Amino acid sequence: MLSANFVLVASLVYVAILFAVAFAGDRRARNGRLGWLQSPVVYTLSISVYCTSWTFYGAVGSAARNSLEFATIYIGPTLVFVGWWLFLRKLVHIGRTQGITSIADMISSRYGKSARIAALVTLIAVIGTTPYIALQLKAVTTSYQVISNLGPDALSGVPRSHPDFRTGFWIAAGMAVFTILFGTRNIDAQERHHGVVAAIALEAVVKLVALMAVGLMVVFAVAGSPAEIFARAAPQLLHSQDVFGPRWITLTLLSGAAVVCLPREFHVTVVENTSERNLQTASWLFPLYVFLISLFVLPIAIAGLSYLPAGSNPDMFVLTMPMWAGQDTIALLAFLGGFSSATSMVIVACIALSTMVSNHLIMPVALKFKWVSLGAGGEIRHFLLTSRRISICFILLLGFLYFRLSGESDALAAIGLISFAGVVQVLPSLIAGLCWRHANASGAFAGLLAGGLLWAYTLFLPSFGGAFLLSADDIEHGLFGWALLRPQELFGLSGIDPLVHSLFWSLSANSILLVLVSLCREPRPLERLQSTLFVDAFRTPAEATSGLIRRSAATYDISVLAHRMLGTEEAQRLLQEAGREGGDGSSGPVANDAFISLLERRLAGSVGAASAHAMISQVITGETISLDELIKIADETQRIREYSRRLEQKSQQLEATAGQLSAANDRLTRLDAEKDEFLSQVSHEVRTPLTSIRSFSEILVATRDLQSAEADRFLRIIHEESMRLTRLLDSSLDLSLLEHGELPWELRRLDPELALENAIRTCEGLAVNTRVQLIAGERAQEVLVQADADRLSQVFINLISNAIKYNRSASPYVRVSSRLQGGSYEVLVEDNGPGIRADERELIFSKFRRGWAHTQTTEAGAGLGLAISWQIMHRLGGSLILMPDAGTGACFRVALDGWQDAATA
Amino acid sequence: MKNTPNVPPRLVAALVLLPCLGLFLLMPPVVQLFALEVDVGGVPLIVVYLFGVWLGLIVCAAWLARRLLRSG
Repeated sequence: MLSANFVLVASLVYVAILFAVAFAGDRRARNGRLGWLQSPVVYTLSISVYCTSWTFYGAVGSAARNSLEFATIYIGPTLVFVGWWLFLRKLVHIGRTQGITSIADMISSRYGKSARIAALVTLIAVIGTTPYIALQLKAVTTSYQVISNLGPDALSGVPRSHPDFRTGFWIAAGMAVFTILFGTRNIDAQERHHGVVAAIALEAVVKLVALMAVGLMVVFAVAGSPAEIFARAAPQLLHSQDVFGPRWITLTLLSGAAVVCLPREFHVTVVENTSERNLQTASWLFPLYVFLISLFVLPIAIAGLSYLPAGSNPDMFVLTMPMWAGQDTIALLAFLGGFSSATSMVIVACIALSTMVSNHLIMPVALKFKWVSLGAGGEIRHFLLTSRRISICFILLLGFLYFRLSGESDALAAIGLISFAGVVQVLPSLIAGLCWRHANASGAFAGLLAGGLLWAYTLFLPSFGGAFLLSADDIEHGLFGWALLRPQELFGLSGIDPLVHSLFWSLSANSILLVLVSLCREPRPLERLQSTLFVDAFRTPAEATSGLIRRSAATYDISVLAHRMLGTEEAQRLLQEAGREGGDGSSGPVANDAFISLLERRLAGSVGAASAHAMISQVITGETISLDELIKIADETQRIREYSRRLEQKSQQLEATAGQLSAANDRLTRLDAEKDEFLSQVSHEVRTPLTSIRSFSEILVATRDLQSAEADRFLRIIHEESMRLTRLLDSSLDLSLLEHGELPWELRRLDPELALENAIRTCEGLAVNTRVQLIAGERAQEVLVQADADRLSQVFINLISNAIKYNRSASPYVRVSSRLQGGSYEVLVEDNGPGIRADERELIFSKFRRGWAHTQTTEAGAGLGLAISWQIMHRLGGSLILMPDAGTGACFRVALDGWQDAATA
Repeated sequence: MKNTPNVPPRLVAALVLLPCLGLFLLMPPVVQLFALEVDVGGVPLIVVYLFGVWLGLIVCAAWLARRLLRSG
C-alpha cells in the first residue's frame, strides 16, 4: 500500500515534469523551432483530450453497469474522424482561413459576426462544461483518497471520509496556475498554445499507458488469458441484445457530434491545428487511440465485478484492481493516468472557455460601457489578458463550487452525457452554417435558444433531483402541476430513456426553428458575405471578398487602434502591407479598405470576429457592402462550374473536329497524289503511241521514195497506235463518267449467268491463243438481278481477260464459277498466276495500277480496267473485291445483292 | 469534387463511403445479428465483432490517408 505522502510527492513530481514540458514547448515555439510540436502525432495526442477521467475511470464503471454501451462513446468519434473528409476537413479549413478562436466564434462569424449568438453559445458551453470540470475535480480527489487510504474498505473505491474538498480546492488552484501560466502568456494572433499542447500530448501518452498496464495486468497476471476473464463474466452482461436499442444509436450519434462541438475538442482540433495534413493522420490515429483505450475496459470491468468485494464502486475499478492485486507501481501509474486525463481536460476546457468568456461576454460589455478605450491610452491587450485570467479562475471556481455543492450526491455520475447533450445544441447551427447558404443569424439564435432551454428543462435541471430551480415536485408532476410539462415526459412523450427524450425534443426544436426562422427573413449583407465565405470555403478565397466592404475611417483613429492592439512594429508592418495590396503605390501609411480588413482579421484572431467587428465599427464611419459584388461571388462558383463543364464539352467537340479534319486532310493529300500520278500516267500512256505515230509519220514525210509495202506497214502501225490512243481516251472518259455518275443507267431485271456466259465466250479466243485452260466451275441456276447487261459483261470480260493475260504459270488455268451466298449473287474468277503482291493489294482498284506490274508483261493495257470494273460494280450497287491471299494466284469476287429466284419471279 | 482537382474521384468516394459503411455495420439491426451466445476462442462473438469492425475501419482509414498523401 502506498502512503498518502508518497502519492502526493509522486503527483508533485509529475506536475513538475508537466510544467517543464510545457515550458520547453513554449520556448521552442517562441524561438520558431516548432518541429515536433507541429507533428501529426502530437496533434492527435492533443485531440485525445476527449478521453477525460470520465473515460479513464467512468468507462469501466459504465461497462460494469451497461456492458458494451460504453463503446458508443468512442465509436461515434471514430466514425467522425474516419469520415473526416465529409465535415471535419471543411471545419478545419474554415477555422484556419478565418482565424477562428473558439466554437462560439465559429458560429457567430458564420452568422454575420453576431455578438448575441457568440454570447449564447458561450453561455451554453459554460453551463454544459462547468459540471464536467466538477466531475474531473471529484475524480482526482476521490482517486487520491482511495489510493492513499489504508485499510480494507479502500478497495471498495469509496473514500472512508467524505470527499476531501480541501484537496479538491488545491487541485483546482494548481490547475488554474498552470492554465494561466501557459494558456494566457500572450495574445497570439492564431490563439495557439504550443506549450500546453506539448503537456497535453505527454498526458495523453501517460493515460493510455496506464490504462493498458492495468488491462494487461488484469488479463494476463490476474486471470491468465482473455478467455478466462470472459468466462467470469455474468451471462446477462454480454449476451443481451437490449444494449443495441435506441440508446445505442443515440449515444453513438451524440458522442460523434460532441467530439466536434465540445469547446475543448473544437479548440484542439480546429484552433490548435497547424496544418490540414495533420488531420489526415489524425483520421486514423485518433480512432486507434480510442480503440486502444477501450480495448481493456470490458476485461477490467469483469475482473472488478468478480474479484473485488460486492458493492465496490465500479467507477474506481481501474485503481482498486491493481491495489487488490498488490501491484503498487501499477496502482500509482493508474492514479497518475487518471490525474492526467482529468488535468488535461480541465486545462484545455479552461483555455477554450476563458477565450470565449473574455471575447464574447466580457469584451462586448466592456466596449459598450467604454471600460476600455480604443484610443490612445487604452490598454486593450492588457485588459484582454486580465479578463482571460479572471475567466479561468472564475470557471475553475464555478467548477469547484459545483463539486462542493453536489459532491456528496451521485448526481455527478451522469453529468458526462448531460454535458454532451448540452454542447451538441450548437450542432444544427454548425452544420447548417457550413452547408446551407440561407441559414441566417435569427434562425441560428432561435434554434440555439430553444434547444438550450429545452435541454436545460428536460435533462440538466432534473439531474439535480429537485435541488436547483426545479423542485422534485415539478419534476414529478410537471411545472405548475401541468402533466404535459413533466420534464422527462414532455408533452406526454413517455416510455423512453430520459437522454433520448431530451435530445429528441431539444434537437428537433433547435433544427426546426433554425430552418423556419431562417426562411422567414432575408439575411443582412454581412451575413450573406459570411455565409458565402463559409459555405463555399473551398472555392472562395478570403481575399476575394475583402474588397466588398467599403469603409472609411480617420487614418489617425484606425492606426491608433492598430498600435494599441498589435504593438508599434506589427502595426507598421500591417500598414505597409496594406499599402502595397491597395496598390496606390504610396509608401506612407494609409487607412484604406484593405488595411481595415486586414486589421479586422488580425484582431479577430485574438478577440473573435464579433468583438473585432465591434471594435472596428467604433472607429469607422459608414460601412457598405456591395451586394451586387457579393451575389456575383456567390454565383461565381456556379458560373465556374458551368464554364468548366462547357469548356470540357467544347474541347471534346474540338478534338472530334480536329480528328475529322485530319482524316479529310489525309484523304485530300492522297487524292492529290493520286491525281498527280494519274496525270503523269496518262501523259506517259499517251506519249508512247504518240511518239511512234510521230516518228513513223516523220519517216513517211521525209522519205518520198519509200516502198509501198514498207509505207503500208508504217501506216498500219500509225493506225493501230491511234486506235490504242482512242481506246485509252475512251476508257479514261468512261471512267470519268462512271466516277461522276453523270449518265443514268437503265437497270433491268436480267439473268447474270447470260452475261457471264457471254464474257467467257468472248475470252475463249484469247485463252486458246495463250494456251490458258478456261475451267468452268459450278454455276448458280435461275437467278435474276437488277443490272445493266453490257456493263456486267464488261466487268466479267475485264476480270477473265486479266486473269488470262497475266498468267505466267507452267500449266495456266482460269476458273470461273458463280454461286448464291447469303443474300447475294457472287461470281469468282480464280487463276493460278503469280497473284497480287501484298503491297499492291490495297491499291489494285486505283487507276493505272496493274497488279501484275511485277510480272514484266509485254501485254499492253491502259491500267484502267480494274478501276472501271470497280466503279461499275459500285454503281450497280454491288461490289468487286480481291479475295484474301490463298497462296497461289489471285481470286476476284463480284457480288450483287438482292437476287431473285428466276422461277418465282 | 469541388476543391479536389488532384484527388482521384474513386478515392473521394471511398473517403465518403467509409464512415457510412461503419455506421451500417455498427448500428442495429446489423450489430444485433452478432449478439449471440457464441464464443470465439473464449471471447464472446459480439466483442470480437465490435472490436474487429472498429479495427477494420481504422486500417481502411489509414490506408486511404496514405493513398491521399501519395496522390498529393
